[in-house]
Amino acid sequence: MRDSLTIMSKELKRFWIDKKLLFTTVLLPGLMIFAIYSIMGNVIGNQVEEITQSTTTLYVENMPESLEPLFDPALFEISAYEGQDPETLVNDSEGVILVFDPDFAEQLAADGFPEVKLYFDGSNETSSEGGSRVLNLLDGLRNQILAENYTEEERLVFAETITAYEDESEIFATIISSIVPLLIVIFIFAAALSIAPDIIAGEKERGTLATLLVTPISRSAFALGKILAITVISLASAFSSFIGVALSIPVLLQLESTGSVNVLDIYGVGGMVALLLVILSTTLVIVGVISVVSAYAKSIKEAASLASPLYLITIVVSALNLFSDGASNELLNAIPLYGSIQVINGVLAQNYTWTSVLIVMASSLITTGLLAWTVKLMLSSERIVFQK
Amino acid sequence: MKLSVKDLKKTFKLSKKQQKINRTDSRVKHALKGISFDAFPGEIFGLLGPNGAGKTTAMRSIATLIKPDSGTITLGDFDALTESKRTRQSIAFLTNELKLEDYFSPNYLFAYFSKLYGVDEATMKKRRDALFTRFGIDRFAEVKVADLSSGMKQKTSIAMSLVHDPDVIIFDEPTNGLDVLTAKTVLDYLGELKEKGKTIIISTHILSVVEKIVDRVGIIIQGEMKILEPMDVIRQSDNYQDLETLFFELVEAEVHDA
Repeated sequence: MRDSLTIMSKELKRFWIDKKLLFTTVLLPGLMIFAIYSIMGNVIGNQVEEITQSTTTLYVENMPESLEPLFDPALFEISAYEGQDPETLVNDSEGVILVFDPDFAEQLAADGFPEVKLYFDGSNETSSEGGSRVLNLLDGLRNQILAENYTEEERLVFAETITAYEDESEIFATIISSIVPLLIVIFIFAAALSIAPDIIAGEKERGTLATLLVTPISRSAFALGKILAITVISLASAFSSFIGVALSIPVLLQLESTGSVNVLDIYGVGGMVALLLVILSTTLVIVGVISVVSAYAKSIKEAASLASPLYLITIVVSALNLFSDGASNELLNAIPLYGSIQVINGVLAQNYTWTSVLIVMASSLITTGLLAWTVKLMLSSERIVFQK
Repeated sequence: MKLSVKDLKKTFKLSKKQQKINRTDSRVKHALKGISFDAFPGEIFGLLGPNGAGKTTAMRSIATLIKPDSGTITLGDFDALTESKRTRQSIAFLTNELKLEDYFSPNYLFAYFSKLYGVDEATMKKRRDALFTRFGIDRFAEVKVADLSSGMKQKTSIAMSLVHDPDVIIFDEPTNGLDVLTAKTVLDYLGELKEKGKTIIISTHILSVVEKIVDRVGIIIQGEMKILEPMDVIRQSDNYQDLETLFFELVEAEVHDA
């Protein structure tokens, strides 16, 4: 273990003194994510604001004069509807058509059942927003007429007592558990992919690997030291990415504030420990996989290109989580990566068991052990170490 | 510590690409066809041969970087092939293909390799001071390897290979690419190590170096040890004019036979 720690500390020192590498691997991902998500959030926010503040072009026919005050001139620009094809008109103008029965007011007065026809383009944001505004106004009008003509008891077919419980923590957990497992795996893989090829295949490419292999250090200690170093750096990089996401989520989701949501209150110490253990186990597996590829490759470039398909497979497996309600059988959590994502999802959705956490950890540690052993075998292979 | 190599054989499988490069239909290359030689404490053994003759394969086998198909390698009283960790603890192995990490200084690397060889801190500092002063590295001890001249890099590599004060020293082209002054420093130091009773094996294409410092010489051609003689015998023999003529005659004969 002492030799592995010596190898690990050398890699960490190299990483620390190479400010460019430190910046691009640890700081840049977080900064980039924060910048990109914030820009996206602001663009989306501006679009939403633009739509909500837009003026609706309203084409009306037979509208009683008494209803005209309902439509705020700041929000509606009223024109006469002249019988054009409604679909073409709403498509072209991004507006809304409102057609009243010719004797709308008289029918209302006589307790009749007049009709109002509303046309808008549901696929167009401006027209759709206009349609919603008109529907709200018509609802208000209906309620006003009912209030004027009927008692409260007459208006009600049945009484309703509505109690809507809204637990912000649960809403937060639901949103987070659906997207965060995918992000965790993507960030860890991207981080490992950005450094493992350099740390392992790069040693071969630069001719420094054989220099180490002539020392008495065992191949197993060497492989373990490398994997540990890559794991530490990958976690640092993934953490940076998380900070970037955490800071940009309020902007991206257009939340007023996240101050009301305290992560520790939601998940508790146990949840946070479970999450940490599963993330660490998952990182070890991902680093192990990329280390095997890097040990096999002749160069950094070859390692990166060989690992790219694995990256895509990992993303697909992680994305399956978006459509999953968790593993039906706890033993399925023993499948490396799949199990990790299911349990991360479970922890974040506050729906996990310690058995599933332990299964994932055991499975990940065994898998990492096998991968480290494979790296060791590769480093013992003269064909792989000295291939040109 | 005596190094004894007996009947060492090594065959490599050739990929289709390698078959094309070597212009052969054979799927295998017999890199070593049963070479034997001894190297003794207090002597410098020169391993010569043209490119592809099998010198590097022989040296890599001794350094336990590759496994021979058959044969034995003994270091002192132990089997170097089965006790690979002990072997690596006992030898220094330096070739041009072994590089140092550009990002670190000689000071850091010396401490790093010392740890890997299990050298304690006090001994490490003593050896570092002696080697760095001897090679003039002390003035550049905190400069990154990337910023060192090629001569200083080579001297640093030599110093790193000696962190554990090994009994057997195997250097492949130790003066390759060095200016005459640096080359002299390296050769003089090899002479000092010889005087200290170290077993030294060098491989080089510079025959003048061999004639100057080597005590015994082995010439490998196409995986076979063609000549294994003390330098004095070669110098004094009527059969051999000089080492250079002998070397070229052997190589030309092999090319002719092929």
